[in-house]
Amino acid sequence: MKKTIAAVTAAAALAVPAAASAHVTLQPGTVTAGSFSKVDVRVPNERDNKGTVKVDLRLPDGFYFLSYQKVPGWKARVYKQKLDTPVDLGGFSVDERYTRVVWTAKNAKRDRIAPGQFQDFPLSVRIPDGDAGSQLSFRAFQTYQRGERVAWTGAPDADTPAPRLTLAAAAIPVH
Amino acid sequence: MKLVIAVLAATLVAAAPASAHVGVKSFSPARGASVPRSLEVVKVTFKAKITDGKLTVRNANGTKVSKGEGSVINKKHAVRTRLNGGLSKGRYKATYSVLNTDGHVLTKSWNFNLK
Repeated sequence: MKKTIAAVTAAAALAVPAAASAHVTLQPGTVTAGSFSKVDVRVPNERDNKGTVKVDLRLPDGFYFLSYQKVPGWKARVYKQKLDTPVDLGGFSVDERYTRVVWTAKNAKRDRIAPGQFQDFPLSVRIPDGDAGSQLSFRAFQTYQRGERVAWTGAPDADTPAPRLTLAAAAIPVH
Repeated sequence: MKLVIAVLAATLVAAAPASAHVGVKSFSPARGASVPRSLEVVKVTFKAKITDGKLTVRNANGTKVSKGEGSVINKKHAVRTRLNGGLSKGRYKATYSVLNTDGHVLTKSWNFNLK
């Protein structure tokens, strides 16, 4: 039995869907350029005495298609922006991009991300085109009960690094 | 051991994105309808908003008989194209291609007749 547990732990450590680290991250961290992917915004609660009640994600350029999965107890609001110059995507014209998604706990006491918990906020998006290995940097703002706001906007080695996605080479196009 | 395999198997499953294809609310002219040769506009209306779309009409010989690539109208809920004048009676095929709001492209056709 001990052996099994050890093996399971080892396997879990290697697993792609990463465990909740102490940062706001995007899961998986590596996605295929130009693909349609599900990406989770993973938000750990990092305070002992208060919960997370709001998560505000700012997207970089290039996100033209996005939908979000309903998270019970949380209200999601999606923001779009009209592009000055429409973008050509395979012969079609796209004239707006997604800029921001804000999740708010409907009832702070009941629906918060409590101490010891994390919450995934799933998005379905078309990943922007780009070179393999390049990174897309997001900005995230986490609000706790009683108003403390943490800005996840730092460099990779900062205390509160910005959530990032690394692009992998596009496979043979299927669309 | 079973547990280990389950964990590993789970990690190999790529998370699939949500994908939806917008439905058609109506065709004008209707599918299979016979309408007078004076018809000027062909249109397809969708049940939901689209991002962009094209519409062309061809005759039974496959020759394009509509102008341009069509335009998106009705607050992005329809695509319309104008027909060339002086068309003869017979069967015509309208083909639309839309970029859905989820980023997927859908191409389909319907037929109608000029009498």
